Amino acid sequence: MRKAAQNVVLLAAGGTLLWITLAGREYLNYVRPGFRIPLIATGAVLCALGGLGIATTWRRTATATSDRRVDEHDHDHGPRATWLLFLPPLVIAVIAPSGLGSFTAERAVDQAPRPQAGSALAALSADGPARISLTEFTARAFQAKAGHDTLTGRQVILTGFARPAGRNRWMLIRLRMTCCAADAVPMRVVIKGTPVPPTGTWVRVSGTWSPLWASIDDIAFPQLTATVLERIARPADPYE
Amino acid sequence: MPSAPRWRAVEAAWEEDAELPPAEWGRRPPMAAGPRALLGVVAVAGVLAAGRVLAAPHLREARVQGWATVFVAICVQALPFLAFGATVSAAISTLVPEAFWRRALPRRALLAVPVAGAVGAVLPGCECASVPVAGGLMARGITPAAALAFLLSSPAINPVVLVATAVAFRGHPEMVAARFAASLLVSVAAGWLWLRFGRTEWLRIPSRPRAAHGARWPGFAAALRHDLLHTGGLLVVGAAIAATLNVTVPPAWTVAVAGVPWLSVAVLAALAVVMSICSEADAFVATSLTQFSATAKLAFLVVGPMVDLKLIALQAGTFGPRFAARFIPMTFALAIVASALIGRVLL
Repeated sequence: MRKAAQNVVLLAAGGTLLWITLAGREYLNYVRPGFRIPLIATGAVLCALGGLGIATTWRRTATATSDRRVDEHDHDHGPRATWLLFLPPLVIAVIAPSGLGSFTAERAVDQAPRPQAGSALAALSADGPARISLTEFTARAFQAKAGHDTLTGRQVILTGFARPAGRNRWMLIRLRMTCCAADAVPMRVVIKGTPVPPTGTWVRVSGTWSPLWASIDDIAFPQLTATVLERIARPADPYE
Repeated sequence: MPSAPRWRAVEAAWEEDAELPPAEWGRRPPMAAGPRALLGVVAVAGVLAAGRVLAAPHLREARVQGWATVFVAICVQALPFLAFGATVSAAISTLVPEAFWRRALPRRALLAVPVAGAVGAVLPGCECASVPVAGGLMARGITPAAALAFLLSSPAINPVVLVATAVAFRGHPEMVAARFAASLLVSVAAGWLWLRFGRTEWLRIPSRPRAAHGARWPGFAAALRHDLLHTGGLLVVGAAIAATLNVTVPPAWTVAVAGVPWLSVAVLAALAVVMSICSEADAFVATSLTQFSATAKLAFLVVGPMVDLKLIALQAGTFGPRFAARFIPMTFALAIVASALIGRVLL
């Protein structure tokens, strides 16, 4: 690959990184919020390398004749694989990935990770209903099962998307991401006591923990008896 | 994407780039290479913007969206680490004097291998970063076997990874010790085996562009550019394969074999290859594989940073297919044996 094309590849990749981090919050579909700064820095470095390359070309042509060849520039035509760096910008632009959702959640077989033993969670904050993640709710449910109950009598608010699981109950799902979307695993809580929302709808549920575990396809899920169900817009960060 | 003729025009323009001093002042060429390059950038940006506006609203199929998200996620997650690794590699090969490495590593290759393996415990960097760094070391004249020991150990046992492992396996410090011991064992053993049996013609030592003599910073920029473009393109291959498997292989397959103890080690080792997760993150995924034994999880943690789809692509592209065809199976076998041994002793 010639240098002129390399410059365009660098600018396309760097510019796309800056686009998904600065022009909106698209990067949240792929990685954790804390990764924004490294992404911006990387985008800036790629753009600087590509921009410097073009500036060099510009400066040379501005002062050069057209009939004499330059031999001093290296013959680094690079591997053909370099062209593939166009692919991520192209996929981001043309497919506009919307983040993972129902499709990934349906592919999960096992219940998501249960907390390690020996990390007893503190009591929920005293006043009002507690907004907690599905991961935290699941962890507290497992600890309550083991004798350390921090949930009984507490009003909690959970946010996720819905997936029907029978006539009177449904699953609230949120994908938990450790590093990037490639390692996302669904956290699932069975909800009863409200109408069943359609698949994939984003909702906010308020209710209390039910000590009975729900069994769906031979997997035990923690359960919430809901009192309030609110339809919400998909959050900018679809993961937790 | 601009049409092929335009690209050829841009490339031709670059080739026709000329030197000082100008002979024909005032006579303008039809269109200079500089403006043409800029036109290329504008054209690409236009194609991308048009794709977003015209094509994106029609490509909403869940499987396509899932594939695209995982593919882009792996690329986006790895790029900053890759850039960091390429910077370290460029610094090693251009800014650090050659004499430093001669002094830092023992002269005898037999001793240089374990020392280089241990150095990996100090330098943070993910596995995508370690490939260009090891390539830079070889280009600097370091014994390939020592550079390979570093290549294997640095993503597996650096401080960031060990802390992540300790956090993920809270209450099980023996898992951190087992990971450290097994990974160091594999990297030193692989280095020594390569020293004893490896042949020079199998390994393509990466060359790097050199700037004018004495010009350090242009040389640094050229090396950085080269490494970024090279490893970046190969990363895309690995990410595409991993994303494809992510959305096509039925997850029930992996779960079905988890019940068989002897198989579970092999299965998690294979899963580590397929999933291609960064070593900073793999411990958190390992804890989520609750139905597998501790030794199987150890195999997942030892194999992952040393052999996975994106690394196969990166190593084959950087050191040549003949190297990859021998070194990767050897590392994979060593990692499984070391995990089984250390798992028996420590877990």
